[in-house]
Amino acid sequence: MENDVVLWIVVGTALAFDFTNGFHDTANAVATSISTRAMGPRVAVTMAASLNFVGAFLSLAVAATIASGIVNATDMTPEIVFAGLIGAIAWNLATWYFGLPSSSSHALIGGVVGATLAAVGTSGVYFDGLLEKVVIPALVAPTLAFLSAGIAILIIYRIVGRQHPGTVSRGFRLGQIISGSLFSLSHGTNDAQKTMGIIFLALVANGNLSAAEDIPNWVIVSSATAIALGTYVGGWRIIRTMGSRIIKMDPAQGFAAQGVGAAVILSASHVGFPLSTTHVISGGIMGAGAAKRVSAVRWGVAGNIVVAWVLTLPASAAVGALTYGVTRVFGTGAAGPMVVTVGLLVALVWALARRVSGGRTLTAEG
Amino acid sequence: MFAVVKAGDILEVIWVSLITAVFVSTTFSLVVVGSARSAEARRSGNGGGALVWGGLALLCFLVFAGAVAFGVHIMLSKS
Repeated sequence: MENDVVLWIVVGTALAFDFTNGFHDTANAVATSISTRAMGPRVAVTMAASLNFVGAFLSLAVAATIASGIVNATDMTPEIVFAGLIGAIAWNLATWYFGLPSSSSHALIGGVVGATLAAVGTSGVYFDGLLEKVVIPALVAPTLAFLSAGIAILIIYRIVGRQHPGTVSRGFRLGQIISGSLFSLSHGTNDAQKTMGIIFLALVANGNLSAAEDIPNWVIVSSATAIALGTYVGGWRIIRTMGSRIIKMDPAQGFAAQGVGAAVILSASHVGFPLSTTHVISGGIMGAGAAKRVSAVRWGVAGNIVVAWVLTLPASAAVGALTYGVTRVFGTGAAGPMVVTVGLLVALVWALARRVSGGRTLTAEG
Repeated sequence: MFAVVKAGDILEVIWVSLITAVFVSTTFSLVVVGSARSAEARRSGNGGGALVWGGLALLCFLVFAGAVAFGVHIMLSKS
């Protein structure tokens, strides 16, 4: 009975993470379309939410969960998974508050690694896996997207340079609808799977399922719904940063960033190299801006974003480890996760009461 | 560093991404130029020109749509 309470707390927390994932990463797909007026804001987030929902059903490759190859799966307990999820949610909310795009996957990995370090020690973490799945992709993704988008926008300006600007803008706005849709679908086929994997792992660890069984339909539907709802609510602060604070974008630049971003992610998927959609689209936006004019990029804002990327893993790991420590204070049962959950809900209500929506977005100056 | 990740995989991602960037931007730019020039030719009564530019736009759009379809296929076939 007590195990079931912990299990359902983990399931609820995983769905809460899924919601923040959709909410936090909406900007990846829609910010450029909104800022270039390829789509209205509500239409763009509705489209992204629908494609995230559909995408969650299209690919069910969840056997390898997000943390596989990074932590020792045999050491996993529902309490570690719970603490890892709290670390990821905390980092997603903190970066959303400051309007900073950062990788939800890296936050989840960081949270689980931190909780594992606190529970098991360094023997529970595969540092080679961390290098392979987090560090190297975090270096490759933005650099490659930056270069590719820079080349793409130079080619585009070269080809369409003599055409009427209004015609060119209309054409690339239409192109952005396609590239933005591809991005949203890609996000849905990737990110909802992480939550499904986490819930499946918890169900197996709790003895409700065997590892050989299929993912239950309720897990698929609830994960797809949570990420779609989060996407629909929309992280408007990050959309603002991505859409207009890094560069002032024209439709051709928006198309170059999104089109190239989708190409980079898909080519990486093809060879099984994990890249963060956030890192790719941010790098693409900076590249499309810098190729036009280096000073067109607000490097202060870009610098803040890079700092957030660097801090993602250690910060979410610290929260994950701290959460695990707090849960252990209350013993090995359900009391610890329940206390943390209640504490978080109280903090959330307090934050809402203080009108979080009036909080500030980090700028180059601040 | 490359002992952990296959260097070949990274290089493949790099060259495929760069080639795709050139390909996608070129084809879609030609769709835009072809459509614009076709409309221009039609307005000035040049039916032949309109047909050629329109044909180029259509061809490039089909190639672009093929690339998008291939992207969706990759997305759905990943293991």
